[in-house]
Amino acid sequence: MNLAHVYASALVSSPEGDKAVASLVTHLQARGRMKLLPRILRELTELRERSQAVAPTLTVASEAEKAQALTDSAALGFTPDTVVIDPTLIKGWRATKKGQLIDRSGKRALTDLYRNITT
Amino acid sequence: MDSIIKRIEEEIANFTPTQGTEETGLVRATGDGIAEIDGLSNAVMTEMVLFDPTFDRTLEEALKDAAPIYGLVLNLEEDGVRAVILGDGSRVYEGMLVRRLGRLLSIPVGDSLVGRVVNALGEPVDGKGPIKDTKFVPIERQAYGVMDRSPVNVPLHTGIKAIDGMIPVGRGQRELIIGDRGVGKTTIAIDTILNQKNEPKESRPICIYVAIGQKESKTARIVAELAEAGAMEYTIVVTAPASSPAAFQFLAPFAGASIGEHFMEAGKDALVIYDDLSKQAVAYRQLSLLLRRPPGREAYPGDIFYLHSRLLERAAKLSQEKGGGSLTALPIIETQEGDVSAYIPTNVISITDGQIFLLADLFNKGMRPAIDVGISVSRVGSSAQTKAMKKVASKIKLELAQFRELEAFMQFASDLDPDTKKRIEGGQRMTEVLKQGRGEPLAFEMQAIIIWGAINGYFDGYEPSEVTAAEKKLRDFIAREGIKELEGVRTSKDIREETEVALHALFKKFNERKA
Repeated sequence: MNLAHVYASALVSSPEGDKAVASLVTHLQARGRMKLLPRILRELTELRERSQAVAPTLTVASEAEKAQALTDSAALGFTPDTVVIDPTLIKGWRATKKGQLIDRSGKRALTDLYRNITT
Repeated sequence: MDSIIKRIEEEIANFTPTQGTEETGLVRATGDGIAEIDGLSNAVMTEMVLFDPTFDRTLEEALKDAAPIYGLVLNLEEDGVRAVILGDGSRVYEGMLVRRLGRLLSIPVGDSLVGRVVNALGEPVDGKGPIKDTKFVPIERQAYGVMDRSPVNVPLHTGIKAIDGMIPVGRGQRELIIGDRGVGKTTIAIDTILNQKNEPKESRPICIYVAIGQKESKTARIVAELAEAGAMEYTIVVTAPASSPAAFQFLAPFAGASIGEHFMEAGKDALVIYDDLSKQAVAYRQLSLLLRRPPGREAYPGDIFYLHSRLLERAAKLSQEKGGGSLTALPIIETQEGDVSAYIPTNVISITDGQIFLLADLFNKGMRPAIDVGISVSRVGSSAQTKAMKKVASKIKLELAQFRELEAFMQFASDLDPDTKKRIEGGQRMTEVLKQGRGEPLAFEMQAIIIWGAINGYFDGYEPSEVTAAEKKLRDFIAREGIKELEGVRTSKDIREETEVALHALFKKFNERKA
């Protein structure tokens, strides 16, 4: 793990927001490490992309199933930030949130069935 | 027809999947058979994960490439894990979904594995179809403790006179076979497997040959040789060829140990041959460096000793309460230019209960097997030797030790006193008697009788150069005319007085024929 990553992670987890950024810049200037700033920015961008990739998302096979999917997923304690319609799921829905997956789609069921038969 | 179609349509409409919550991660980066995964914060070491190539594709695309890709978690980090890909790494891509499987890496074991050739994951590679009636066991597990073990006291005959006579191996022992490349290490291992055919079926050990980083042609030749000799009836081959990913070469010995333990726990005897652990160490070094673990001596990771010690500790002779089974290990280590002080050789020498050193010089002089009996040792096997072997072995050791002392004077042969000359010639004859061709393992009773003949001077009438040919003739003669004596030694496992009388008569008869 590099120093830029450590600084970026510290900024993200800090509750002080802008004040933390100012303190970090002062600290880097005092240490003569201002060259690190672009790398810290790159790390922050990556961290943001990663957190977006694990944001709560509900994917539904069709518009018609959306309401039922929201009810079913809420019953499992899942509240999505975004709802996406993806017909490739064939039927049902799947929910992803910070490394958790509930896949109740027809595609998953058919793929599992295919794997069980062929392997 | 219409009603059937309608019925199936109804079934599809009413289908409700009930999949529970799974823990997943996303591949952050991949390359060289290693994947860096974001998430999976609850994953544990050596847990299996599934790289899912179907997640973000249409069903049609997914079914074209639905074969699962498994991974093995080997590094737990602050914001993710690193896993080795057990399969085609080129199918893993950045952003791919990875699922925890919630189980440690396991392989199928069972009696039906006997006679089969499998890979490091226990999957058949011999084209003989799936292996049935198996159960899954973890590939890594804790070795048996002190109280579960009993002393090694049953011999495991290799069929090689020099080994069974002077460096005996017991069931449950770990005996290292070490030497440069091309000096006959694998030959000793294969002859040991072939020799188990001479054992009674009820006490015959199940043999597991683990080929690590070998050429596939060599493994194919070995399998053919074993099959031709009928040895595949009690043998399992685990192969992780040089062309397989490093992860498979690292895992193959553990798979072999798990298979062996299955038989040991069933109260049977098993023999596992790791050919060879130097290549496993190299594969583990490769994985460790790719996993960014800090390198140590010779760039091996810090836990390279533990890699071999935890593997070899699984060899054991279990107590009667645990069923009395055993797992004998014959690890092989390849040295460079005979250097046994390198890192891996010294590690494995210190772990095992003895070692069989093979020397390139002896091999080039025509000594087969090229065992240096002076520095080869068995730390526990002598207590497992049969009485017959014990009786004859102590005398050969002494005779060969004296011969080695005097060997340097051989070039002054014409100036030596008759006693020294006699001892040198005796040593030369004994060395010739101990020579043995490839694929010619001998039953222990035949070995005991031949060595008994040698120490009782029945080869003294031959020039040292004639001894090998005479010994071959003697073997045929004993097999033909010494059936009673062979039976006597086999059943009593001893050379009793009455057998000795009969053997004197037998050897005299053999020498009279020569005259």
